[in-house]
Amino acid sequence: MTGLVVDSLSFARGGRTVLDGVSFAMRAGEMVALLGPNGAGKTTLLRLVLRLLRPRSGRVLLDGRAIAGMTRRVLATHLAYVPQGHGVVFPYRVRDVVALGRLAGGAMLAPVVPAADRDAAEQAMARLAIGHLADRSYAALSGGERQAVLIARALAQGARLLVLDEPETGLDYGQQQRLSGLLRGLAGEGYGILATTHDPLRAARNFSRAILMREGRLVADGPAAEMLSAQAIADLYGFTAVSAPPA
Amino acid sequence: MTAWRERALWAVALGGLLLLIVVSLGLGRYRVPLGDLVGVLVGHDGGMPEGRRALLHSIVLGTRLPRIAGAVVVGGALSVSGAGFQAVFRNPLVSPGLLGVLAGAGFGAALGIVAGASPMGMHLLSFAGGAVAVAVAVGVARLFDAVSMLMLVFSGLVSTALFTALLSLLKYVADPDRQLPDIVFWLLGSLTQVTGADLGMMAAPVAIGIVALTLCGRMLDALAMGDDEARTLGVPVGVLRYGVIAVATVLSAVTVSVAGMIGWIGLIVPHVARLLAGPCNARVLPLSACLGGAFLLVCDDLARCVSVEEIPVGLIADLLGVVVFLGVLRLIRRGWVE
Repeated sequence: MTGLVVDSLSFARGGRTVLDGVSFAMRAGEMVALLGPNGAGKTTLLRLVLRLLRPRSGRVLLDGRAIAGMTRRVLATHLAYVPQGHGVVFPYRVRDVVALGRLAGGAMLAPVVPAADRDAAEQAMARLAIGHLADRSYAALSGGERQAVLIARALAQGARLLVLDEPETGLDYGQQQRLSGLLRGLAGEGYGILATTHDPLRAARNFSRAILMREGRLVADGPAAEMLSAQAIADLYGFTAVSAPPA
Repeated sequence: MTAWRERALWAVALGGLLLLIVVSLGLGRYRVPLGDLVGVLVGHDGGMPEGRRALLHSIVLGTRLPRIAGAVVVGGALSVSGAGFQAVFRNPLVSPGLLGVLAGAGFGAALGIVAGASPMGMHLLSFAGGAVAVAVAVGVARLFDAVSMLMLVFSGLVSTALFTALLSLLKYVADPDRQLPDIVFWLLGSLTQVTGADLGMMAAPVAIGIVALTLCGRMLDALAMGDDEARTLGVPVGVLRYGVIAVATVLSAVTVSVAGMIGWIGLIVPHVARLLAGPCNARVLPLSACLGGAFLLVCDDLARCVSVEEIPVGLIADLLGVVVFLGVLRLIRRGWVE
């Protein structure tokens, strides 16, 4: 089957089970939000999908192939990661950062960025409307701009499945709206989007599907608007549902 | 950086280095007029009296050229090694000595002096000492935690401390009249002993090392984003990290075995290269080679010419390095010191 299959993944750290038999499948064009309280295992699940951790048991398949047997390079052409905007010690320009997305698909040992890769990076920056930042230092950008750069890099990578770690963190309301619009547009073009998020209300509006996790287990999986009812949110995060603000 | 600016930068860097080499060939106690110098260099010296021709050949090509080439190769290799270590550790404060290669090579050379080894034996012992020290650091790190970079830094400290202590032990047991001065002088760093044979021995590993690291430039840029990100960009991080450490270790161990401890140019020169060419390693690494060679050549010219009695070049490199680094710090404080 095409797309991503997570097959009964379990993971333990220091004897404590962090993830316990999580299974789901997602296709291209789907926009999946991963929700749950802190410590539910969302980030661990992302890291297992990206093969940054080795599962205790279970496996991850991409287009029917186990990722455990792929080289880093092949994996990178299928799966792109958008981390939270971070600092970088050396003052790389935005153009250089985006072009790194072309490493896996292009020439790893080329001392200069090949012209085709430069063009791909330009296109990705144009797509994110950050062409004007191309020669700025990545380290000097704001959180929202950094995130746009990292998404552009993921697009330049050519992978059809994007994995995002709490993409709304540090964005203001307008930036969050633009991000949602962008991700929906990408899903419409057939990109698969898998993102952890802390905002169930936004997820209910913007994502096609929600996966709810608690204590390392998958507790619900279905259309985002249905899964994220007020009661479900209250249950997931462990508080009493509040329908109206107290008088 | 635009294409023409980049070409201009390379033209200036390489042209400057070449000019510096020619000027350095003319410098020294025995004054060689420019016309004669050019004549000797291009082989257009048929008109000279035979005695003078032989003398000039002996001075310029026999004595000065190996030493000047040695300065360029040693300075370049140490600087590339430093740039490689800085990229692998994502830290601009890292010097080639981080994992103990300098301490180990110093110990190896001192062992050679105490044991009365031949010059070639000294080179080999010193090189082996540097390689063993880094192997100890990497081995200790893997023993405790295979993936942590911090653990590698700590084990580098352990290895450095170990080989510094062993070196002190050798100094303590060395004959204070014959051997101890040799050890101290060797540790100061000097290019006086560089021979054509040494250059032949260094040339291939240094050239291969510089090319290999430069080819890894873009992967090293990805590594600057963090290990996990580099992995998701398709970079085999473990292979790259240990491969670059191995090459950078060979580069610095080779140079130390020939020229002794030459200061901290491996830390400073990559910063100058980054200032000029930006942080991309595919440019920083070869430019560091060029600038490092020029820097050490200037230091060695000063060592030869400032006083009648020659000054150890390592000492000059340290002093001049301080001045350069202060200038660099002033310029880059907006970059990473915030």
